[in-house]
Amino acid sequence: MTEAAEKNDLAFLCDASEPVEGEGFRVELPNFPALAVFKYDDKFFVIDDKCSHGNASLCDGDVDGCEVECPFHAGAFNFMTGEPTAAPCTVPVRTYEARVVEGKLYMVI
Amino acid sequence: MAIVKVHTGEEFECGDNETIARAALRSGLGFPYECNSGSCGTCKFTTLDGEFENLYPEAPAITERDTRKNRLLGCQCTPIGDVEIKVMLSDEYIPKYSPSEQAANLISINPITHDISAFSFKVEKTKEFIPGQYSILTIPGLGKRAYSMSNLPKDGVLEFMIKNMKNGGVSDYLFSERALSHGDAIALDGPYGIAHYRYNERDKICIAGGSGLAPMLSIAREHISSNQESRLHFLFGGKTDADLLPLDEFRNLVGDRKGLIEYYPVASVYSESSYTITGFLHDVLLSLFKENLGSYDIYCAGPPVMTASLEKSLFESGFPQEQLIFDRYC
Repeated sequence: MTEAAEKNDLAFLCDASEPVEGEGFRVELPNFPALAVFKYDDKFFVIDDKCSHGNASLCDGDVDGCEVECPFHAGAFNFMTGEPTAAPCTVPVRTYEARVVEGKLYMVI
Repeated sequence: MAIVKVHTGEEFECGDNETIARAALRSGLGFPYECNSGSCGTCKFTTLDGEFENLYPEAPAITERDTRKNRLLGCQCTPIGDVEIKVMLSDEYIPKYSPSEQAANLISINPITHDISAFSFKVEKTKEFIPGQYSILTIPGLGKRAYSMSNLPKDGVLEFMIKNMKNGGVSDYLFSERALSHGDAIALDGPYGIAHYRYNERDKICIAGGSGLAPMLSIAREHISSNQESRLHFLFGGKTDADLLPLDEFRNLVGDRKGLIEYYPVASVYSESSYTITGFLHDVLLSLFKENLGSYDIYCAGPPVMTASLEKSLFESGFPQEQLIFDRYC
């Protein structure tokens, strides 16, 4: 597969330098729900930005290690797996595979 | 009486034996909450100033990080003197009918299934509530339990569908001879809960498991009595036929004389009835309504394992979160 063909399966998110550790970085793409990008241990993770419990943006929440807290009711998710880690969140958020190509961050679609 | 200040400027009074969440709701503020029993975690707040008594330190909804970040559950603590807190108030939690506590007398018990009975209580002042809401019942010496009303607000009578848990707790007491014959002073605090009937044009699906029948019945009764034009489908789940209601009994209970509601009894283990569907409620729901599920409001109530499976299945199917209406009791 050529690099050009591979890129057809990727959606551009942002420059890899934009997300910083300890904060969520919000990205909006056409035909996708809002996304939250996290950098942790020099790796990137992409999840849905909307909390599965209420209508809150996880990018507005505090980051604690590999978890992000929801700013509404202090529930939390592991952004590496999408799994809920604190009440009242009970349902995982969707995760997407992130990939860095030549300094740009993409997700696999 | 203590004063609780919220970081956004609101203030409310909190009585000696009141929890912060309930005091806030009584004063008309939209304090976030769902279960009122320490398990869902929706009512977490951050302490900013003052002292608090934690009534349930081992509550499952509080994590080590919450403790590190000075968070407590609004439904499980009281202030000791004036305090200041940080919490995100929201209009969706503002009570339409202000909750209050009243003495209640048990006036009748009627069996519904082999282990669920309808308990009717009389209170002095008529309590208004929105179908789907619950009250907190206090039995002196035994504790508090949240039960959903199954009737419509009328003449100061509140009806609950209670399953006999046979664990020595509140339900054991209610099923005993003593509860009815002594007319003991039982306190009813309510109404609470945000999983209540939404008056809109969308068709509706009610999903009840076990004693989750109560709030779903109240919603179905309101749907019929207020002559809604939208359609309502009702799934009632149990393990076997003994846990379920035949169609005629269901229609009698709801007051659905014209057969407007589509009723689906669902047995998860075994059924001898050709009318009953066998399977888990979340699977049956998805197979019955897969074509246009997103056009419905879905109400559900039942054991936590049931509501959790349903929430997960619906979320994975892309069902709009705001159209799934339920209170979490983890």
